[in-house]
Amino acid sequence: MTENTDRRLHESPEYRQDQLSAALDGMLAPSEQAALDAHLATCEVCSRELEELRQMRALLRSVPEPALPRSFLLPLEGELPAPRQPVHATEGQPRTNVTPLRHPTRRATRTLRVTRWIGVIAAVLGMALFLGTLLPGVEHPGGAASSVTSRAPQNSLDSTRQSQGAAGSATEMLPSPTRSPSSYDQHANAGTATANAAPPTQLAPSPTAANNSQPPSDSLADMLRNIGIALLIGGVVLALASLLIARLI
Amino acid sequence: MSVDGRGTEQERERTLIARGQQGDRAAFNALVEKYQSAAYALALRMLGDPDTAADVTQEAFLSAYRALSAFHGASFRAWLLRIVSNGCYDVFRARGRQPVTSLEAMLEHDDATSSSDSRLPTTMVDPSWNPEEMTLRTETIDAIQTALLRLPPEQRLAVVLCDIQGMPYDEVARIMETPLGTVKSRIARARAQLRLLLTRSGELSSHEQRQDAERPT
Repeated sequence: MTENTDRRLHESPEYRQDQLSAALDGMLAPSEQAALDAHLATCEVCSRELEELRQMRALLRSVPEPALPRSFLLPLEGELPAPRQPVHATEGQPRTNVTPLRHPTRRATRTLRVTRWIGVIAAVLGMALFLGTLLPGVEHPGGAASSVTSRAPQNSLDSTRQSQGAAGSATEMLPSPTRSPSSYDQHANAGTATANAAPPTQLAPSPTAANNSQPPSDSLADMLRNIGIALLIGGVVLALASLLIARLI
Repeated sequence: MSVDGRGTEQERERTLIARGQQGDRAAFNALVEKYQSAAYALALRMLGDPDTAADVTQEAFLSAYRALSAFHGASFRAWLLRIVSNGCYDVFRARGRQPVTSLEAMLEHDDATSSSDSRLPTTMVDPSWNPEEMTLRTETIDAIQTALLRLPPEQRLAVVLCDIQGMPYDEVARIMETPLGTVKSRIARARAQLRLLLTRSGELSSHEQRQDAERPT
């Protein structure tokens, strides 16, 4: 055992550091202490190292407690200062599971997480809305004459561009010569503000409107699609931004 | 604190905590009064900068007050100092990677000729030297602080708590929330490195006779 200790003390610096440091604090098991003592009796190098460690520790112990720069008492009255924004939210090694300290940090992460989810949900909603307008039954805005090809799903870039173009042209299409100014007004209403859109009964077709049902549903679908795209883009941006911020802080 | 006073002191502390948990700031301030020196000292030794240390200390007491209802532990001091050390780690993160100069490289350079550091001059060991009895010079404290800042943060925390603040291993382990074995080895690493750094900067020999302190080349 002693021989083994001798060898390890010289071959492994970590082992030597561990043993000498623990010996300094009287933290070695009796058998380990005995083996170390036996070694120290014959090894000047290790004895010297232990002695130097002892002096080093004495030096550290004699470092005086610094004078307080000020008092840290909390104000007895009034609002306490708001918690400072924590610097980092991720788990560093030493903060494995402290309850108290993580409080402010946790709040920031939670906010970011919520923001991220809002972004994701908005994006999904937007996507659903966008795709919904592409379904058969809702007329495609691009083709005033309902062409089958334009209804087929295209790659998103194309359809985005297309719907943006359509957004511009759809309004122009509205004033069709066959319609009376009053019915145009109604359709325009329905198109621009769904919330207070003209009641369905008004939209409900007079024979002429039925024939020309394209424009109103076009503008509605257009608007829904635009909202969908806006939601999609906004949501993605929001989600990415909150993700980025979470990384940075 | 006398051994006899310990029980009542602990009871007093428990009462203060309980009152603090109910929003009694005066009671909490009694705890601040008791521990602010230790809290600030830890922050200062960890960070090396008085202003930041004061900020971290203040912030730690505010966090502690806010989170006091979550405290059910046995040692308020350990809990508080853990909050302080977490505050220090937040500062490290904010600063980006702590610029730890490669100690390994630095030591390697000088120890290139010997595998161990056994070449340290014998003259540096002076049994009659008793640092406990002397007041440290400012330069010595600065040198110690500089050496501490070269250690990896976990080692620094371990050795500051153990050797500068004089805490037993188990309390260090409680503050660091690390197994005792890990604490032991961090302290051992830290001491080994500090011994070399302080020998190098002359602090471990500077208290001797001048001629003894002459460093062999």
